[in-house]
Amino acid sequence: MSREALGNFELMVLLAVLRVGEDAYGVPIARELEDKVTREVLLGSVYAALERLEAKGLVASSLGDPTPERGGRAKRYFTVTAKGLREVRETQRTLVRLWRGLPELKGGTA
Amino acid sequence: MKATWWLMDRFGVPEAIAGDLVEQAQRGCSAWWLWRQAFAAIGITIAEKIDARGGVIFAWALVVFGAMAVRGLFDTYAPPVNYGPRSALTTWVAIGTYLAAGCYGAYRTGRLQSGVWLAAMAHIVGQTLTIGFTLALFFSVIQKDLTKLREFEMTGGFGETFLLPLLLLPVVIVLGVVGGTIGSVVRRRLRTT
Repeated sequence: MSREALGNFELMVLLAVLRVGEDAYGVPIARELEDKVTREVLLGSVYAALERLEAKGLVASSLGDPTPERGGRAKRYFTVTAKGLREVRETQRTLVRLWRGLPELKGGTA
Repeated sequence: MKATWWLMDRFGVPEAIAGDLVEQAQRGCSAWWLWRQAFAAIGITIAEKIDARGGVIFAWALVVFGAMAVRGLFDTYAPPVNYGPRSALTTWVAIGTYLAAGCYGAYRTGRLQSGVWLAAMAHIVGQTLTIGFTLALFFSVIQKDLTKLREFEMTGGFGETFLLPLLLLPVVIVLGVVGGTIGSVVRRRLRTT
């Protein structure tokens, strides 16, 4: 795993960006997370995590056009970079290795 | 609803988050949900600003704390016969510090709010450090000496230690606005010449 390991929430946000795909901006990312973690997600926290991921080079963002339904404010679209994709795969492999063979987790849904 | 947008604008919540919340409001989300999200966004924005400018805030807080600590030490070990000049000096040093912090913050960023924030945060952090220092001084030196204890109570005691910083916060904000205005004007002038 890289030196700047992903936090739990950061990993979830990264996966949500991947799941949403092309139209990944704050609202659908937060909705995707809410759908999977079944609790309310704060948009501010999602953007804070995205900022950190962008600083690490794991996501890239671009501004869309301002629209009237957003009070003239632009959307910020996010995409996972190649480095981000590698990081997700590496994290998944590490977690699976750690998961495997744990007697405490046998019989669970994990 | 307008108050929510105004607050988010004032506190510099990024356009993308504000836009997302407007969009959700248009889609009929509850006012309670909107307020919760808006306040969280404001809180996170403030925390990020503090995190990013922690060094600058701490430097100005040290100036505030330094002035207060020197005053506390003088009052304890070499109390003046007449408190008038000492009070005047402390007041002018404080006014100068908050004006300068406001001016510096606004000059660096070009935003008046940054100046106000810097002055207010320098005051809050500086006075918190001062409270700790005063408590340490009180329990290690002042309370063991009756003369020093009387001097401490005469100069305001714990009322001044805990309450005065709170009462002064609005004054600090006004000084931050004045300093911030000066900083913004100077920046604009220097950039256009």
